[in-house]
Amino acid sequence: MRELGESITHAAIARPSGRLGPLGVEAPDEDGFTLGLAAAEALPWPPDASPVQRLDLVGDFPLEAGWALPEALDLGEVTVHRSASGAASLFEALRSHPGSAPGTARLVLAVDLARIGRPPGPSHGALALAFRLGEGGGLRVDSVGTHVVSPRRGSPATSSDVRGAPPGARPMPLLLLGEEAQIAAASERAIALGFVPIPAPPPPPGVGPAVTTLAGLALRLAYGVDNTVIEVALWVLSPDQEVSVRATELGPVAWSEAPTPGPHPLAAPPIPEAAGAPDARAEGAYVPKPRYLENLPSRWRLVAERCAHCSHLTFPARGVCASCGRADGIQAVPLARDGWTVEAVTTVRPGAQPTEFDLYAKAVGGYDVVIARSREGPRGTFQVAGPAGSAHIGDALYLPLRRLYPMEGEWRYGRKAAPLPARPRTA
Amino acid sequence: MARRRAALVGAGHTRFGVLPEGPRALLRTAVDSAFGSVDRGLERSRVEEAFLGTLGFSGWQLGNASAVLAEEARILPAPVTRVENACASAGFALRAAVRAIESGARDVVLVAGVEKMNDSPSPHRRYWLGVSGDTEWERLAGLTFAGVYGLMASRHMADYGTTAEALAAVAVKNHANGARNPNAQFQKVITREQVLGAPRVADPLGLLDCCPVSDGAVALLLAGEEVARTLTDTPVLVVGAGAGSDTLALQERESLTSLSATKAAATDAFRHAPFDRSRLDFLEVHDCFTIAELLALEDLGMAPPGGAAAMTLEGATAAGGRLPVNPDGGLKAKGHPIGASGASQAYEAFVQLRASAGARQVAGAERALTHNVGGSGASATVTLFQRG
Ligand SMILES: [Zn+2]
Repeated sequence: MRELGESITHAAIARPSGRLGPLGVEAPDEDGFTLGLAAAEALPWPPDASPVQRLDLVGDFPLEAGWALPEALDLGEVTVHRSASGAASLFEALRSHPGSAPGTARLVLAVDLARIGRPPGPSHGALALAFRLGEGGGLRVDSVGTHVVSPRRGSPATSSDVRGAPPGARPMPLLLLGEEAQIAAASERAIALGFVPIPAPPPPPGVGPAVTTLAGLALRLAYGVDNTVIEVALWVLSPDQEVSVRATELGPVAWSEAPTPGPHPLAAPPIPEAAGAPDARAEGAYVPKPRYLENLPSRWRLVAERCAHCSHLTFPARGVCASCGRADGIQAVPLARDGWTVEAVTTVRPGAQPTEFDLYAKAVGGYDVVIARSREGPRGTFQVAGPAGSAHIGDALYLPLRRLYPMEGEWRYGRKAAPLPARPRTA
Repeated sequence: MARRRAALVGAGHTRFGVLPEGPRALLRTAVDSAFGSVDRGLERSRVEEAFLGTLGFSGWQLGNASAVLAEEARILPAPVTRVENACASAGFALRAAVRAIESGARDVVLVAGVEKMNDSPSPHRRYWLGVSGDTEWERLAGLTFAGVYGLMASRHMADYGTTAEALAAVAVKNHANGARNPNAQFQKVITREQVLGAPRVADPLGLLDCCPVSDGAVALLLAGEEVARTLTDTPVLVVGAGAGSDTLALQERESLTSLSATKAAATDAFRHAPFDRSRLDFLEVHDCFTIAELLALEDLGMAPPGGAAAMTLEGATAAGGRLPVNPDGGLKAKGHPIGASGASQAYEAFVQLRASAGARQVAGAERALTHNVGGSGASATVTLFQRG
């Protein structure tokens, strides 16, 4: 009998909706936190799912993600472990953790963003992965080998971590991920070791050229041969490190993708590099941090409150029924993130935005704001994550979490509204 | 027993616009001018109390601004209360003064409103222009007031077929009126094509659908009716002083195309009024954006829901029309120094009902309504005036 909590059962990917600046990777209102959350929200969360007890954050998450992701996902008491960016860290996080109790449900989130300062190249991109680990597993990571590549000697093909297939086994596929030149060299060695090398697949439409090794891995898994995961070996190559992984297929992994709107056709100048960091000088209507934190259940998780006396649904939640005023018998109910219908829309042109949105307005050249009604009844006011003029009365929108504006050295986040993508999911 | 009535006995108004003077000088000018307008004169020592409307735009004397009015009006040590309800600050200050007189507590009361908006650079202004909306939800969705009214306009267009041409007609009409008002910020006529072709600000609203950023001050002197009659032969009686509230955020409201605070304020104002809506000779309504004038006409019961556009397009609200609206140019052309606008509307009632409005005089005007809105309708006042 296999252990619980040690194998991947569900996986999801989220990609940034926008391309902005020379790196072409990050939308002006997305970052590691919003992408990681989008991936996690794309996972199925049945009501009877075991509560997550351990959360692994791998990669480029902002500092606040340590508390913000559990809050946004309503995970309750959870142990958070962080590790550095890269495939090696990811696979270490996905490996069995002998310390975890039987039946422990785990969530592993990984984010890979292009690095500022690295020249644009084929291995740039941004992507988030979410893995739910638990019962009924699909893929178990058996071994992880890492090898630091000497910048002087260079060739990743000297790695001794990728071992040949066991004698008598059927030829084992080896997924090769990395930069083109490295893959070419690695292929020869893979064949010599008895593997069947599988080159990186072409990216799905709208994704652009090859992305980071981590992104390549996800795309390979999600869009691979027959869209299924087989007994697999991975060889992930990057300029400074190579990682080899051996994983065992125990059952299908259910893959899903965050509903990312199509590429944001931004013609605006790139956000200056400094804008990537919170701007302490930003001037805005002051919402003190305790009030911001107080509103997070409604702002991030769309928590409304159902009154037991008059059944009115109050949103944003305020601890008291907006209709009858009773504070007892109130039950928190999260509103659905999709199916919000636009009732009113305006396009805020540059110069008409509140000052805290100056950088954003400059980057995107104006944005829509809507009042939309949820399927459950209450309305909300949301900035539209998409081109100015794209939202119309009657449109159905979903509400991704996005970065709003910097305040006192930190980014503040909230739900925006966005159209669901028109492109079909890749089968 | 008949209720004691309050009456306007004097009013002063600075020019509105981009002015060199600071708030103190503006207040001094408006107050001096108000005292100068009292027909038989009024000793400053007779002012028992004052109310000041101001947002404190750009952070000017955010605390204790009342003392500035007491100093500049030279009414020390009379008590002064600052009233802040965003763009309706002076409307509410006026109402507080009326109540003080109606109750018999005071005989002579000063009301002033001031805003100095052009002192600060543009980013600072945009910060302040948004502080009176719902901060935690609307503003953090990227809205300032232009955006909030843009949302209402979009829904009004969808529900009633209101057109950009109808909105433009409001701007064209108010600019034509402003051209006859020597205090107006814009004293020039504009065309429909200019309004429709102006750069967009918050669709469907363009630059010429929006009121300007203005400096200015207004002062009003009120007295109990019997005192007023000793000061002038032509007092202007305040015969209704209604007000109402609504939720701060638009998303909470039942309707996106109607301000229920306006409706409540009108009901409140007409409750004890000696005349009904059909007897009004002109209106001063809160047209911070063109759509706001249409909403006002409908919420005040002058047009059915969706009917204000046709009323405007057919010229009924123009000078010489069936029901002139904003003969002084409105916020749109006269200017909108936030804390002063409600008092400016009352100033217009004072000069019109005393037949001293000059080139913009509404012929034979005897009864008027003024309507002042805070923000996107979280607060509103409706005040009724009658020639005494
Ligand atoms: Zn209730």
